[in-house]
Amino acid sequence: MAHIWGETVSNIKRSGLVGLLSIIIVALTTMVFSILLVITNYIYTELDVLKESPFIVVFLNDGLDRIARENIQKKIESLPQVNSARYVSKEEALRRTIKIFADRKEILGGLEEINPLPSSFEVEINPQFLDSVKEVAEIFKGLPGVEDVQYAAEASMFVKSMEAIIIIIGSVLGLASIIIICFSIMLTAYVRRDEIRIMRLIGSTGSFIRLPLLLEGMVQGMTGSALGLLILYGLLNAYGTFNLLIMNISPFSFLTLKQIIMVVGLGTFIGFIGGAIPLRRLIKI
Amino acid sequence: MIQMYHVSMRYKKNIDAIHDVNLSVKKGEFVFLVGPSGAGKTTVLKLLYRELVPSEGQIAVAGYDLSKLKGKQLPYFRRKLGIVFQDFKLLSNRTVEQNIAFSMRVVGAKRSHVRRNVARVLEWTNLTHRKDALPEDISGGEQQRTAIARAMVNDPLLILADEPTGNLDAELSLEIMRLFERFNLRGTTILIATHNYNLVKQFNKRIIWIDHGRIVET
Repeated sequence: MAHIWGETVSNIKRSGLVGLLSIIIVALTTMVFSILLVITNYIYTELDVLKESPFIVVFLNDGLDRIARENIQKKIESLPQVNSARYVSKEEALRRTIKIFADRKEILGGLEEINPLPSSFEVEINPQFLDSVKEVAEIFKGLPGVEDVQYAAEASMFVKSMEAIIIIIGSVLGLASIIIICFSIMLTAYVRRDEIRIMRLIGSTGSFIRLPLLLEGMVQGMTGSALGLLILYGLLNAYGTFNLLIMNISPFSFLTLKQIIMVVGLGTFIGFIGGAIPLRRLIKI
Repeated sequence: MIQMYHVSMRYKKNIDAIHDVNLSVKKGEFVFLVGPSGAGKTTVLKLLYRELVPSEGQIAVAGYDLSKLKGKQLPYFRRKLGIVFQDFKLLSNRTVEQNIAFSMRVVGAKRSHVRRNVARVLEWTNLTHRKDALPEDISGGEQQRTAIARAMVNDPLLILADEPTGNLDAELSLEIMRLFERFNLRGTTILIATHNYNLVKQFNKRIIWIDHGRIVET
């Protein structure tokens, strides 16, 4: 095993620009994939907040008078699917927001003076009609004076769509990384074809020839993904500092430990696949 | 040590590189396989170290029936051999010593064993003073001695050499052949393929003639 690791280290040193390029490509794809994960983490946090909220929230246009508001409430409560509709004024919405971010007051800078938060109705849906929440929300959207309608299921569907997008983008990026590492290993094996032929002819086993190249692919994948995460961490920290200074908003936090391990593990696996694919063809013992 | 029974090697378009070859080499023998370029010498050697599989016939080398040799056994069979190429095939980014040691490292030999054996063959081939040089910094004769040292370092039963003096002048060619003779005296079986009959006739060794893919006489 010591021989194989020795060959691996020697191969990595000699891989030069080609090896470096593979690491950079994996780092870039890791960064893009991890940014999507960071955004998903943020959305899930917001979704948890939404889940504690009433089932449908009907946001009202600014400037509605009491009569217009009461008309909307009557129409909402007239639906058999609705249990109750509670009015939340702009002032109450602001008080709630201040309470939520009580320990992160820097985020609220300027909010109290302008209060951009709309007034709304919090609509409790009869549990028997949970299946038709979407249809009910569409009815509310059509009411005059209604700016927007949100419900937890909608946000959940949005996150599910995000997840699908992340999987698709992640798969494309992963495939691109595999192809790059494949070519890197193929080029390595081609450049070292004389060496590999000699190794075959003097009695090297297949594993002694293949393993160092396979391990080289894995090291490239692992190094690239770790580098990508490191750069992203630095960028998020710099972004957070910038926003705290300028815009008073810093919503994004880095990946969880579990996600970090998953990303590095994926990078290593990509390196393994990228190394394994060309070796079967190129190195026939 | 070597037995070939009715061996033929057919490439595309039904062209036989060798046809119905029968030959045998005893353990400890020193044999020249002589013939002009294109006679089939390299094909015979490639069949013997199993880089090619014959279209017909059977081959036995160093106790192995090559027709029954499985893929997993091939590396262990080849460890019994030492192969010397006309163009040396040294690794350009490794020193003389590292090139020789390479043969032992890739078969998993211990470091102490490698050090001992490499020092020994460096001495045999008179390369101790050049052990830290790269192939590009040594002469053709020294490169070929390095290739031979690499072939010998694992104490093989059989050396197969394909035109080992093809790129060397007369004096160096003689020097290389004498080196092979020394190894043969230690018990290693030697089979050398060459077209240089002028060189061969200076040594009192068995000759197998091959021409147009057929053994003419032995």
